[in-house]
Amino acid sequence: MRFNDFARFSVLVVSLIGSAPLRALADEIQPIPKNSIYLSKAPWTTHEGKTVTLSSLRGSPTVVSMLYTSCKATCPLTLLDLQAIEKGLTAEAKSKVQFAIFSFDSSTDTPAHLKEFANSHNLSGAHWTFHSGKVASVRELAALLGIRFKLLDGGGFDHSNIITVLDTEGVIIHKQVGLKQVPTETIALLNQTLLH
Amino acid sequence: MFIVHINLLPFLLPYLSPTVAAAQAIETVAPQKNHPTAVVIKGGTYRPFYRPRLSESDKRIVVKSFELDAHPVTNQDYLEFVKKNTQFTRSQIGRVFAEDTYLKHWQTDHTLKNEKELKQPVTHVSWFAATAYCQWLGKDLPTTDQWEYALDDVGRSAKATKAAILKWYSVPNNQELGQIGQHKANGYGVHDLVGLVWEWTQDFNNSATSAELRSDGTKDENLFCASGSLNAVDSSDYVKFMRFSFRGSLQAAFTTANLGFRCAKELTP
Repeated sequence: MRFNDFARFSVLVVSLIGSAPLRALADEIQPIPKNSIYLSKAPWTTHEGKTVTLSSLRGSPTVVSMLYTSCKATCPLTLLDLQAIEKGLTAEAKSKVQFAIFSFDSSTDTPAHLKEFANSHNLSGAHWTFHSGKVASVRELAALLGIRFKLLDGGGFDHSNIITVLDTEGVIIHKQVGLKQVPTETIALLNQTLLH
Repeated sequence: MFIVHINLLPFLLPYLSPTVAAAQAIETVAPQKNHPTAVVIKGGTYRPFYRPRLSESDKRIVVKSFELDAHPVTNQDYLEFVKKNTQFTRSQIGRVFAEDTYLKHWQTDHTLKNEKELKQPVTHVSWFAATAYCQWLGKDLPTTDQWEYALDDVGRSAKATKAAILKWYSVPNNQELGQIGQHKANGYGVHDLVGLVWEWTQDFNNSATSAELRSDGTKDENLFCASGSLNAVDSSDYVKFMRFSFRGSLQAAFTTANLGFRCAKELTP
């Protein structure tokens, strides 16, 4: 089915049922900005088993990172970096900022696996979401975030370490590049974003 | 601004300027193809330019059989895609998917500047747009390994290819783009892998020469732009180095004048 057909079909279905999902309604009223990565239509599955697109993150400032759970070298450090950011947030920011993690590893990191990973790292709060997706979704997101990655022969991935901050509309407003950075700038930005 | 509804154009044509008539002529060209769209590339192994680890110096990469477009995607091909997928028109595409030079050589969203362009490779397209085009046809961009393997041509045309590349690199950038299929195909029946445009690959961004990638702890090669050349299997292979470093410099939203693409498809066993 071509995209246009699908769109027409969706409109038909929605008008038949008579109750468009709130999210779709919101998207129609306020279109996603042209420079937002939330324009992506690539499907993902959360660690709770829900199928979503990036636009499900719309509405709150979001910290985005890509990793894979079987990674022993750098990914634990990425998690520490993310937690350091969380620690630095004001109480108000903490209640609003969400952390969205996306896996490079389409085969190992099933939703169940990600859920277990979240629990074992004490990242099970509602503002932490872990996502897994097909190879095409992974490739597209990495491209959107400017992350270079490569599947290694022995399994595992070589990848750049970039923590990205998105505003409420999915526009990239900051990149923290490299591991073990002092996240002063990232934290200041997130705390400040919420003043508006 | 005066806008002519597209359905009214045939009736208005006699009253409009010849340029508009010409543009309309381009629009209505049927998407017929008088060349084979894709050829089968039989799998095998090839020696990549860049080896991931020093210990794997003799390693050859296994490439499974796949289908590859015999030509780069043309403006004509791409025009058809854009007409049916309006979110990929110049005016509607998300900035996050393509820079503002996207399709800037076209006249409008749905018209080219002249008839010659129909058979020229499409350029000013981003990786996102190229990927979407291929997926629209149930295909995908070739991986870098597939692309290089096809060019390698099991060594059949090595000398000629190298000579063609070096000649091509000496052509000034401002020269008008040639049309597809003007040069002899390689052993697989694939045209224009070199000589017209650079081409996007699916994993252009897997290059390990970026300083942002983590170091594996053995060497700081990732921090130095030129260190990739020291790792090359054959350091005299300058033309391959050019391609790999060019890919390494790209971002997925880039839309440059000399970069096009073709599609590939994995063969189901």
